[in-house]
Amino acid sequence: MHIPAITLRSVVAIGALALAGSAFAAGQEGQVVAKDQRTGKIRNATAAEAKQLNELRAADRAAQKAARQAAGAPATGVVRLQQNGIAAAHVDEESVSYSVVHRTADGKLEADCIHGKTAAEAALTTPVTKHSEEHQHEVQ
Amino acid sequence: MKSNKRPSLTLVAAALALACAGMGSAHAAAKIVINNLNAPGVGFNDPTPATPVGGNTGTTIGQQRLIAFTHAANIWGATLTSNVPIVVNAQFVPLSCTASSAVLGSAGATQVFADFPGAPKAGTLYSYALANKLYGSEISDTPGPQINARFNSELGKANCLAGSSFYLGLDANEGSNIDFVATLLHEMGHGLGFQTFTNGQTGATFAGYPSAWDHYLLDNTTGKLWVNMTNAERAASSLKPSGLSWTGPRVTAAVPSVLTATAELRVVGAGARSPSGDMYAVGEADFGPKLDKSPLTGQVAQVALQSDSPGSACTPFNAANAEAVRNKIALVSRGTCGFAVKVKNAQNAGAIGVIVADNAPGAVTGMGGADASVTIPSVRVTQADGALIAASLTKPNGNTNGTVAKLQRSKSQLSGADAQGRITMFTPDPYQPGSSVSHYNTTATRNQLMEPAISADLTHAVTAPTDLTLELFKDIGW
Repeated sequence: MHIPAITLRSVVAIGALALAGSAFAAGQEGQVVAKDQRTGKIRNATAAEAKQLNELRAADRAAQKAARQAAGAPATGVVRLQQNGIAAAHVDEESVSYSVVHRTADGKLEADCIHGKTAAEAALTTPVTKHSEEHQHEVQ
Repeated sequence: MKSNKRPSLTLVAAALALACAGMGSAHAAAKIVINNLNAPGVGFNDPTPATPVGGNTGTTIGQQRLIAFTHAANIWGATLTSNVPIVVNAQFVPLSCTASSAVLGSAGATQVFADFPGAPKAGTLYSYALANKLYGSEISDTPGPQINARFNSELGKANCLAGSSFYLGLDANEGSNIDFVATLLHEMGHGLGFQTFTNGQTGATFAGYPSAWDHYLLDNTTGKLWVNMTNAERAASSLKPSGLSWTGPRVTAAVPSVLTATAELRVVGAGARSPSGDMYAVGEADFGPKLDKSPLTGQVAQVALQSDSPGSACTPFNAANAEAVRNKIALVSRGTCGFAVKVKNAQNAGAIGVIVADNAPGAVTGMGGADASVTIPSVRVTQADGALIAASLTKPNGNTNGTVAKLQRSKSQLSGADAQGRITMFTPDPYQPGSSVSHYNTTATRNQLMEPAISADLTHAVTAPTDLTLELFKDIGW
């Protein structure tokens, strides 16, 4: 089967875009869509395209990691033993906490705390905290 | 040229702050050092004139930012103990934005450590500042700041939540703005150790080590601690609303003094489906009197939609509805007009309480609004529960079945806690990347600093009987 070449530009992980919550179930990264090169329309990515996207993402992450290391930044998420025998690891952006604020339809600002750069940037377009349960106090 | 590389300004936020413990033996004090990494003219050094606000005496935006930051650091510094200064690198830099949303800022520990002298648990990760405290001196052979904090320098500009800004007062009187101090307290809390580094979505530990938190996170449906689970078990427990409890003894001991009893609705009588009555989860109202442990008891009467009203109970009740609800608890539907409007109309018609049934599927939530003249209590139930209650009645504006509702506060169940009185963590299903697990449950009342949403009613307190953050820190070794 011919698999059209895709790039990070043409396949977009839109976990951030108005998805039903189930798209965020454990182990998933969100809905993946692709721009069909023949029709120009956005459609769900095929399994092969999603796999290719994951490989591109992995390569992108590896490149970023290599760039960080080349710049002298310490590796993150990897335990190393200090000379005194203590285990140590640098923390990466995915373990950092972000405050993300949205303006609601009625003009109020709602702030959520989100761990990880990826989730925080996704949350800019889709608030991940529903302000639900007892603390969502709409007025009507 | 690296234009942002300037000698940093360093502030010692809290060096001598003391807090007297009940026994008089503990001097809470940790020195928090704030490294201002901003270049002259930007961020913490922004010279834009500003009017002092809410106890913040700064006269420029930069001064006010730094004063607010120092104020938040002082709160933590006066609360925690450590012989090792806690260094926070702080700066305002461009962060991601859209026209209606923005990353306000970020903060987090820079390193984690395990298997060091003084560590309470073997083979377990502790965040840098806590590891330093437990170790008693600088623990890292590549020393640096314990916490990195960044804030969005673009906030309020075009395409970055235009027109919005942080409230820089120190008095938690932020109105409709974002309270900078509360945000700082929350994010610094994570940097100080209020988080597991284990991934709740996959269950995978960080770098192969469990976090200090994992010894205290208990799946209260299986009785298993995170530290003893497989990855799959951890991931599954992250998807159980109110199913993941914090077992630390300090937090659990403080829970009764901090959390309030859960509001509940019990339906009894002929309309109930069980002899002992049917219990319904409810959301509470921001207006009107709070429920009490002594139940408000009354027959339930459903309010019929009037021809002159665009929605249930949105206009003064007609004679039939007024007759139906007089001295009873009115059942109305959500929609079209405000909750407070509906309750006030029911009150004016002689109702003694109101049940608002949701008009769409979803979890039970509270009711916002304000009306000081509302004097009867009201609660909100889900659409499904509202339908069950309505079905127990005989007709829209009558109740010949004698269905009776009791609006009350639980004598045993605390909001946000499990049946054993342990606070639960935020574990919604589906998983909410970045928010699940490392926050207290949003069902907790009163609102907690370390819930995933920065609530408007936070007071900047981090200690019991207002807040459970410090107690959790003590559980993990602070």
